[in-house]
Amino acid sequence: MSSVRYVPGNAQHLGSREDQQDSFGFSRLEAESSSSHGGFLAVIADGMGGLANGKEASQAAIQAFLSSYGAKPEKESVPDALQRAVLDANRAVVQSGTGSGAPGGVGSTLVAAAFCQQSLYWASVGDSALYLLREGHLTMLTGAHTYANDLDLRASKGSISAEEAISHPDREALTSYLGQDPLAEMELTVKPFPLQDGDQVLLSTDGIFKTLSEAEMQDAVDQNPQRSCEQWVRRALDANLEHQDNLTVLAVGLDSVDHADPSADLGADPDPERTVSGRRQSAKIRRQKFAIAAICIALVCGAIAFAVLAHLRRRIPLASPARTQPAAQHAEPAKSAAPTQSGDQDSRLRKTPNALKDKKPPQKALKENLKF
Amino acid sequence: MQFETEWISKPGGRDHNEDRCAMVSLENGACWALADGLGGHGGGEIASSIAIEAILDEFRRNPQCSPEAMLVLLEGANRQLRERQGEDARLAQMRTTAVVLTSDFCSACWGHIGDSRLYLFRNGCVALQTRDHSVPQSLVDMGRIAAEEIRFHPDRNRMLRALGDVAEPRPSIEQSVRPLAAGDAFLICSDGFWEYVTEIEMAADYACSRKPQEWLARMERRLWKRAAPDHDNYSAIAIFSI
Repeated sequence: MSSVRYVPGNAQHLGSREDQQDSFGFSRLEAESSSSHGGFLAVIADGMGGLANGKEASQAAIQAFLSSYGAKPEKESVPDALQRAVLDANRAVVQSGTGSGAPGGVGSTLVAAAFCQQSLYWASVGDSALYLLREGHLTMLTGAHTYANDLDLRASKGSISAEEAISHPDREALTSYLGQDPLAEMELTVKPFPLQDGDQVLLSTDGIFKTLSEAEMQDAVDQNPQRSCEQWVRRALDANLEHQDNLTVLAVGLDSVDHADPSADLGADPDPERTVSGRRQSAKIRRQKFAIAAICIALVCGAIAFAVLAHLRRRIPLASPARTQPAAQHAEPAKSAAPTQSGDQDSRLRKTPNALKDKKPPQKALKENLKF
Repeated sequence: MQFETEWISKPGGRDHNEDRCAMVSLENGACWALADGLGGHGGGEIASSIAIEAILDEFRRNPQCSPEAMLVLLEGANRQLRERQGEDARLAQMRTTAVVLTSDFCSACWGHIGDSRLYLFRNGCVALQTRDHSVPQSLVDMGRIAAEEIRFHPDRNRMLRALGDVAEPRPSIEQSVRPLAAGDAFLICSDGFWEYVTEIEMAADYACSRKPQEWLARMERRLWKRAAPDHDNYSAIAIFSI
């Protein structure tokens, strides 16, 4: 059995908002070895709602999700555990909305990625995104729960024109999000998605991909997961948008220690003497090189994991009850959660950029907030 | 071994759909076929319809799952297409791609001509895919461009072989080396489909789908998000072995 190392990274920024409504979390890396049936988990949530409600919603979603998934019994499959955790997170967001006196006005997206050896599983609600970086190519793995899906389906049947579908003002409105009772839709892997050595998986909120094009995002990624996260945030800030949404990126790099041949399952003949560079070496030299490489990788991973965990502790608690963050003085709803007016749109959540309050010019605010 | 099959075939941003999909399931075997026709005066639709009907009719007569039988299916379709071209001068230019899959519920055999494709997904990955008979695929074979550049190549519509050509058809025919296993899946699709959905996206959507219709619906969403308003007809047959 190959031993796989996961190298996490993350970066977060307010954008030009005064309040951070995105939340994220990782399961503890060291837990991966002791409870490998659940794998290593990365999860991200983008809260929506007035005042502090968006932040509360995304925090409630992350905490409920992590604690629910953390209670996964060994016999439960990963997809079943992800589904259960999403439903628990949904309940938590619904309750947070009720408590704040704004039922129906609070919501959150959520994308969770579970890494089990060489396989990836995910669950998604809303329009946060999961990406795969493989051999320099970036692919969005998830689909978004937006009204665009309904419009495009109607266009495919010829009941509206393609132009109507593309130019519809509610195209980006969410059709499914945590905080709905019952939850409208969930994207869930029911089978493993195989990963390869060197793959990097990234999770991001829409503040990134609504600012940067796919080409810009692909251009900005790095082999180092932490640098990928920082560069996506930095590039988005470089765009200098007046109404830049919150930005959150997580990345997990996959580093298989014994460099198992991913094509072996497909009938290829794995050559035990083959090294990464394709040369043949004596077993002794290989063992020595292997040991040196393993020590180096362990040191680098340890340093990164330490930095990330230290970072996480500052940002959000994983297992402990909600830690109150200092409330923004002039908190401003980042996303209006008011249901739209027309009858057939009641279940949709419109995500619209809000006008900023006076105060600092956006550029100055960006500079002050630029820290990773 | 059993199969679950679903397909979509839609005009996309065009007025007419020149793609055709069909299947037949008999006691001893099953056959799936997809064709993407081209040619003026309605020739595209006629060409793909003739090819699909000829292939399925022949399979019903002789439901064999072998490379030899596959060649008979494709040559028969070409013969009927050539006859019809000769009967109507306006249809002399009509041609069509074809992908045909046959199975005896244990192994599988497939043949193709043109730039419609067949993919086999095994263990969640693309285990194999057919190679287009097209100018950009030749450039890939010569090492001039990378495989992922086919989708955006200016000559991507230049096919080198099709049914209805003056020259004898030279289809590519393959047979599964291993018996099919539960969890294997086939995707057969026209260029109007694969141009807008990458292989990694196909695999991602496969991981999220319990049924072939779910798989197609997810990929169709991606297609519409990426395609220009006047995009090509698109068709896809999804087959899960269970």
